[in-house]
Order: sequence, then structure tokens, then C-alpha cells
Amino acid sequence: MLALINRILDWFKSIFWKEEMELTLVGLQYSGKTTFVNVIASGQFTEDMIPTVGFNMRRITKGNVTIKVWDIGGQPRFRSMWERYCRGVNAIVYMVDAADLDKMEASRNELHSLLDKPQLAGIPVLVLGNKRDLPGALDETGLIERMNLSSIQDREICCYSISCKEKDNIDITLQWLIAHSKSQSR
Amino acid sequence: MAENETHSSDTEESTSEEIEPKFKYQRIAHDLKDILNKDVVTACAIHPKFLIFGTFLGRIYLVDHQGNTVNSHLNHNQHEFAHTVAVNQVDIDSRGEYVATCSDDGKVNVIGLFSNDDNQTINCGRAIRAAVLDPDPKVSEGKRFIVGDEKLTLYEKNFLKKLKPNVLSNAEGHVISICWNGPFVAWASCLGVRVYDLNEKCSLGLMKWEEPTNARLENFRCNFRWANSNTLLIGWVDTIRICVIRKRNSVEATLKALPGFIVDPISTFQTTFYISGLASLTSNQLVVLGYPKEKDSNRKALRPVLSVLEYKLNSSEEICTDSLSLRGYQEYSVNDYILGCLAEENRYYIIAPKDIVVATLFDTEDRVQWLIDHRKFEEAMEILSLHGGNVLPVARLYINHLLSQKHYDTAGKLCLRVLGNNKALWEEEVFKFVKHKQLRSVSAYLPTSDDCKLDPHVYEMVLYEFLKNDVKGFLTLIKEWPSNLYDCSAVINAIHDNFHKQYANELLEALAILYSYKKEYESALRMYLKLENKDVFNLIRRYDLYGVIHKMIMPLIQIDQERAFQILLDKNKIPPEIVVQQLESNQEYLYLYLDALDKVDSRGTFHWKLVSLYAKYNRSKLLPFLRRSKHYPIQEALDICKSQLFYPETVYLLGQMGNVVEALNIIIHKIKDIKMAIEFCKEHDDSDLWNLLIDESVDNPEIVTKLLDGIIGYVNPEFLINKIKMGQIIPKLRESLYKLLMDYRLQVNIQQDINKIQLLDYFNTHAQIVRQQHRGIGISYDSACPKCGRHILCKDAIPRNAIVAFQCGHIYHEPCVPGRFIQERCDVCTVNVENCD
Repeated sequence: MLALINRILDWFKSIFWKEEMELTLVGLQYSGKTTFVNVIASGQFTEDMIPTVGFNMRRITKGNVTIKVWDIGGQPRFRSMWERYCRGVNAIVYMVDAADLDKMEASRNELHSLLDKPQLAGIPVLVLGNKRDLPGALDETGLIERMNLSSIQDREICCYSISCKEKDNIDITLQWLIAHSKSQSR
Repeated sequence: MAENETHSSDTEESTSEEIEPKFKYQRIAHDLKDILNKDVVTACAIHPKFLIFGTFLGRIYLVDHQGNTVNSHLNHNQHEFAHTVAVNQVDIDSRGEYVATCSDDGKVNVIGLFSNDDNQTINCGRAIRAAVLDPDPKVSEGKRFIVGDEKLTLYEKNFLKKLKPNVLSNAEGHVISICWNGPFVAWASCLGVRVYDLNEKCSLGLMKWEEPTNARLENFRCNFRWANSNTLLIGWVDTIRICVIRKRNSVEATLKALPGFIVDPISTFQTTFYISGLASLTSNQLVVLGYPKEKDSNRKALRPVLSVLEYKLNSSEEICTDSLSLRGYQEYSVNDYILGCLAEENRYYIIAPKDIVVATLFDTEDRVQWLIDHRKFEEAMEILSLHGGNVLPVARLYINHLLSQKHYDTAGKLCLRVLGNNKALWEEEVFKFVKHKQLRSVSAYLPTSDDCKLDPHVYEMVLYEFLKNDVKGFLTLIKEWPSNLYDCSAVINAIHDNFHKQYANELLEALAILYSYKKEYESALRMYLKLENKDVFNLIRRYDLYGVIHKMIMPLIQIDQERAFQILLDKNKIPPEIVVQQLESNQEYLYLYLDALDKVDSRGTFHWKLVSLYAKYNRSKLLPFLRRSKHYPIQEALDICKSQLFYPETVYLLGQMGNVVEALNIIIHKIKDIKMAIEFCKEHDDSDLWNLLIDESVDNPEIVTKLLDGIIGYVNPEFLINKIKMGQIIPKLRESLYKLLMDYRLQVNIQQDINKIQLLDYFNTHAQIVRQQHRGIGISYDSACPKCGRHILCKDAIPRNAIVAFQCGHIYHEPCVPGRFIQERCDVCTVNVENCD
């Protein structure tokens, strides 16, 4: 009986409060996209992940916000599909391995070529510099410079330095995401 | 990306020219390939982000657009959602959150892709051929769905989340297909097609379908596609019908008990093949997946086709048709193929049992590539420039192609058209011409402006090639190209190395031009002189080469007398002394030069030479010259004229020297021109001369008359007439005398008239003087007596003395005039008059 009341409550709540958003998570392989999804979904950090093939689809509920996440594989052969999965979403989250300076240029190029796609014009972008716990990882300023983010003028863009392992700045990331669920009307 | 193995051949009739294809095809591979090796696709649904398909073994797979298996609830709980036999239909909602599947095993599954909370399974106990989800994205929880078996049933959850079936309609036999769009559900049974209006909860009527010959309608799958919210495309067996669902108009609505909407077929037409699926391409074009009705010689199936049809009212036109070599096509029937589509992207999925191929419209890039592959470079470039693309890469391929086809000139023109002022590109392309030894073709198009100057080697190479193969062209280029493009010395050396006698003229001219480019004007001049080329004069003028031509004066004149003289006479450029010295060996040139010089130079330095030269080459100018000039030695000139027997000149010179008698002698005896003699005498007006002439005339009666005619006013004719001897016969003497006398009388008359006039004048003048002297004479206080110098009048006192006034105006005191009554004239005037005398 209690369960039934809870259900009815949930149902009411969902009617009045529910916010929905859809976001796509892209970035080079081994930057920690799937890990990030796991961390925001369940708070669990798993060190050993297998590379994502194709994509993962997840729905995460934070408070009254339901976030639908398309977590796309970062290996080169999947990159041609990035645009397809970014179409029509509320936000694009671009994950960068802030500690892997060698891949920074490739990451920058992929980001800029993705954002050049006319279909994705105006979609807000959140660039996350993951693995800030590692020595030599770039901070926000370093990322903005190395990723040439200042050149992106046609949309809202934000950059955070996070650590999925230490759960650093995950909260502000979530806040940003939730804030953007309201900005777009469905 | 998987290689496009799908063979797209064009329609058979076009054998000569290939038609540009409309579609490109790409096979989906990766994990899908492995799955299809073991299983067979029987149903498929396409979402913009993924594909879901059901198989013969009853399994459901979710793959991305590359064919990679995606982690989802489906494969985590595969056993739970699987059917036991072949899946008949798969449907995805527009947000990609739910999947509905149905199968012959009687089960219908609705599966949430993101959570298991809303999964639903119903078991109907009958084979289910169609199950569709509510396409409305707003209803996310408790998804509604429609299942078709012997009847059409809508399932929806009530607020207690309990699934409630709601039978919409009974079907004749089985429900074959369902397609849901907004409030309308299109479905097919073995009789035909119906559209159900969910809002009004009524059917909009049955559209009967023709039973095919030798087959049953229900054995064909009915293919639906909602082209937009109210346009339904139906392709069934071999008939396509396009229906618009619209509100009944007021006239139709008056009949009661009729539904508010009506299904209005706007076009119905037959196809040559059975229809496996259809979708819209544009507002009046369809993409149709067709299955040929014919079989091959082994009674196996032919390749399916993807056809673009443009429909009109009850007819259609085939725009293009591609035959598709799908894996195992020989074995399949019309219902085995499915056409899926992403309408917004114009992507069409051709789903065969063991193959999934994506057809996408040829975009600009593809078209360009195809055109390039088919060597239609011009069209490719046109398309590119139309779409603002970069034509350069294509252009360069085109250049390669043209070169390989030996269309060198076209290639050159193309270079000019596309390469613009890009130096690096030009150099790159020019080297292609080098390989073909065809620099000549591109030479005319090479950029030569300062904005885009290529490496000097390029131009040198071009010149060298011309030098080897086309000397005339070489010369033209040397003339056309600015000299700063290449190294003149290198080219000069090349000419020397490749000097062929038969082209000596061209090569020498080229050398001359090159030397002048190098500012080695003397060398250039030498070349021109060798060539006898008239450009030499321009060269001299342009570069002020007067200093170097001193020794070349003769050859220059030989090339072009007139222009050479123009050069020589240019003011203050070449001292005449030098020219004269150079021309000493050729008197004629000297004459011409000095003659011309005389016109511009008034100093007359060389007039002494000119006399003899005129005498030799142009006597007509001699006399005017002698008259004009004062700078020649007159004796020398006289000697020349005498020796040449130039009498008029001699006469003139003698006249100048004062030797008039000799001159007259010459006139009379040598020239024998009595008129001239008379003129001569008139000119000098010397009585000795006249006497001489008259004496001479005595012996020569003919002269007499002429003399008589001419001498009036100079000599007394009496003198001449007296000289005439008695008995001498003088022709026309009478007339001459008559004329003489007439002239004489005329003179007398004139003199008489003059006399009269003078007299008249005299009297007039005299009268005037008299009048003037009768005027009164004013005496002012200032007047002084010319004699004593004192004032005539005194203001203070009455004059004591009388005064004497003369008509001439002089006034004297009376005492100052001596012998006052005798005095007749004023003293002053008397003195004056005496002085005058």
C-alpha cells in the first residue's frame, strides 16, 4: 500500500517538476567519458574500463532532472558519427584528458571540426579537462589556451577541470548541466 | 568506412553516356556483418542515432550507424526480450526511448532503451505481423502502442499503470501492416487499406486494393510511409497510391454520420516491379525499393532496384534506377526486403536479409568525385564554383588529364583560368608541362605581371624550349615578356649555344633585344645592324645611343635613309663634323645629310661643301641656296658654276660680285633669255648695262621689240630707237612702237594729272596760310620785345611807348624797331628766312 502511495507521489512529482535534457559526450578515446557517466550516475569510479564500441545510452536522474546521455566511442573510427549524435541535444560535453599533452592537439582539432558542422550551430559546449589529479595535468586556463577555446564565439562554451577519480568539480559540472536543461525548451 | 561494394549500375538503355547517379551506397559492416553471418534480418527500424533490427531467430539487436553493437538493455537482457521465432516488425519511437517488437510467436514487447521500468509484454496467442508505437514524443511513460492480429488493438496504460486493450477495428483476415502518424493510423488487411482516426475514434473508410494476378494480396506486405503529417504513401504489390488526409469541406460535411476527415487519393500508378518499400525524396519524387517481377534463366530472383519516381496525377516518370547487388539477392522474395529512411537526411536504408546498405543522395563532393572519375572536369568545376567550393584540386586533376590527352593548349588556358596569381601553384603546374615538353603551350598564359612573377628558371625553361623548337615563337616571347622575368645573360648564352644559321635573323633580333635589356646597347646595335633591322632607330632614340653610333652612320643610312637622317639630325646629339667626316666617302649621303642639316641648322658651317654637292646632285636647289646662304666662298662657287656651265647660278654669282657686265653677257649669249636680261638690268638699274643690252640688241632685231616692251620707265626709248639702223627688219616693230607710244602717252597723262593735283594743293595751302595770318594777335604781360628783351606791357603805368606788331606774331617796342616805317619785316623772321635760304 505504501508502495502505491509512493508511486502516486512520484507520479505527481514527475508531472510538476520533471525536467529533461539530452546531452552527448564526446572526446578522444581514453579521456574518461564512460567513467564520467558512471561517476555522475552512480558516484562510482572504476579504473579499468573497456573502450566504448559505438556508443552507450544512459538515462540519469538528478533530482527532478532526467539527463539522457549519449556516450560516444572516442576511437577514430567512431568520430565520423559524433556529429550525428550531437544533433539536437541540449549540450555537448567534450572530454579532454588534461594530463595527456601529446593528444591535446588532436583533441583540439576534433573539437573544432565537430563544432564547425552547421547542424550543430548554437549548441552549448562544456569542455571538461579530466584527470586533474594526475601530475602535469592542465588547469582551465591551460586548457582554454591549448584547446583554443577563445576562438569559439558562436555559442556558449564553458571549461572545467575535473577529476573523476577524486570526484573533483563533478558538482559544478552537474550544476552547469542542470542549468542547461532549463535553457532549452522541449 | 566499409568499401562500397554495392554495384550501382545505371539503366540498360544508356550505353554510350553514363548518367550521373543520384545515390551513393554504403554497406553497414562491423558487428552487423558477424550477426548476419549467423542470423537473418526480418525487421528493422531506423532512428537518427541507431538502428534496431529483429532477426529470423527472434533476436533484437541495436547497432549504431556503422554497425557496431551498442551496449543497451537489449543485449544485457537479450533472452528476456527475444522472440522464439522470426521478428515481424520493429518500431522505435521518435525520441529513441522505446522499441516495440512483434513476432509469429504471439508476443509483443515494448522495451524501454534507457530503463526497464516501462517494459511491457503482451501475449496474444496469435501470430502478430504488425505492432507500432505511438510516435508522439510527449507521452514518454506508459507508451501507447497498437497491435494488429485479427483486429486492430490500441494498448494504453491507465493511471494505475495497468495496460488496457482497446479494440479499434476488426480486420478481414489478418492485419498486414500498420503505420501510425499523429491521430491517424494507416493499416492494411487483405481487402485493402484503412485509415483510423484516433481522435474521432472512427475509420475514415476502406480503400480497396486490387488482387494481383496469380497471387494473393495478403502474401504481399503493404508498405506505408507518412511523407508528412497528412500525406500517406502506400506501395503494395505493384501499385503506388499517394493519399492526402484532409478535412471534409462544408459540402461534404453536410451529410451526417460521416467522419470529419477524408482520405483523398491524389495519385495512383503502377510500377514495373513489386514494391518492397517506399519513401519520399522531394515533394513530388519517391524513392522506391523494387523487386523485379521477372526471374533470371535459372528462375532465380534478379537484383532489387532502387528507383526514383516522379509522380503526377495517376502516372509517374522514372528518374533513375539503380540495380543493387545485395548479398544473396537471388534467393529472396519481395517481402524479404525492407526500405528504411531518415527523411530529414535523405538517407535510405535498404535492408536485405543478410545485408544492410545505406543509400545517400549524391552531395556536391560525391558529384564532383563522380564527375572527376568520369573525366567530366568542367562540370565538376562548375558544380564546385556554384557551391562556393575550391575548384583548384579538380582543376589540377583536369590539367593532368588534359596533358595526358595531349590537349596542351586547353591545359594552358585552364592554368590561366584557375591558378590566378598563386606563384607556388603555377610553378608546380608548369613543371608538369616540362615533363611533357610542352612549355610552349602554357607560355602564352604564364603570369608575367609584377604581382605574380614565377621563378626565373621557369621562364628560362620556356624560352629554351622555344629556342629549340620554335625560334619565331622564341622571338615573340622575347618581345612580349618583360625582361625582368628571366636572366638575360642566361638566355643570350643559350642563343649562342643554339645558333642555327637558318634562323639567323630571328636569333640576331632576339639577341639585339636581349642586349638592350641588359643595357649593352652597342652590342644590341651591332645585332640590329647585322640584321638591317629598323628597330635600331627606336633603340637609339630610346636609350640615347647617339654617342655609340658615330662609326655606324653609314650602315644606318643604308638600312633606312630617312630614319637614319632623322637620328643624325636630332638636335645637339651628334656633331655634324663627325657625320660629315663619316660620310666623306659617300658624297651622295653627304649631300643628303647636309641638305637636311641645312634645314635645321642655320649656322651654315658646311655651306661651302653644299655648293658642289648641290651642283652634283640637285641643281634645282643650287640657285635658291646661293641666294639664301651667305656662308659659301663666292669665288669657289662661281668657279664651280662656271665649270658646270650653270648659267643662271653664274649670273647670280657674278651679279653678287658686281661683275654685272659679264653676267649680262652670259644672259644674252649663253642663256639667250632677253626677258631675263631685261629683268637683270632692271634689278641692277645701271645705264651701262642698259647700253650694253641695247648695243647687243642692235644686232639682234628680235631683241629690239622685247626691249621696247620692257624698258619704259628705265631708259629713254628714244635712245634705243635711234640705235635702230635704217632698213633693218624688225618683226612686230609696229606693235612695239605703238605700245611704246601708248605707254609714253600714258606716262605723260599721268604727269599732267599730277601737276594739276599739285597746283590745287598749292592754292589751297596758300589760302589757308593767308587766313591764318589774318587772325588777331594777343599781347600778354609776359610778352617780351625780341629786340630789347623787356616786357612789352607794363602793369604799373600806361605804356609810354607805342608798339609795333608783325603778322608773324613778334611784337616790338616802337623805338626798338629801327626805321620803323621802312621796316617791312620782322627782324627775327628775317633772320630765319635768311638762314633758310
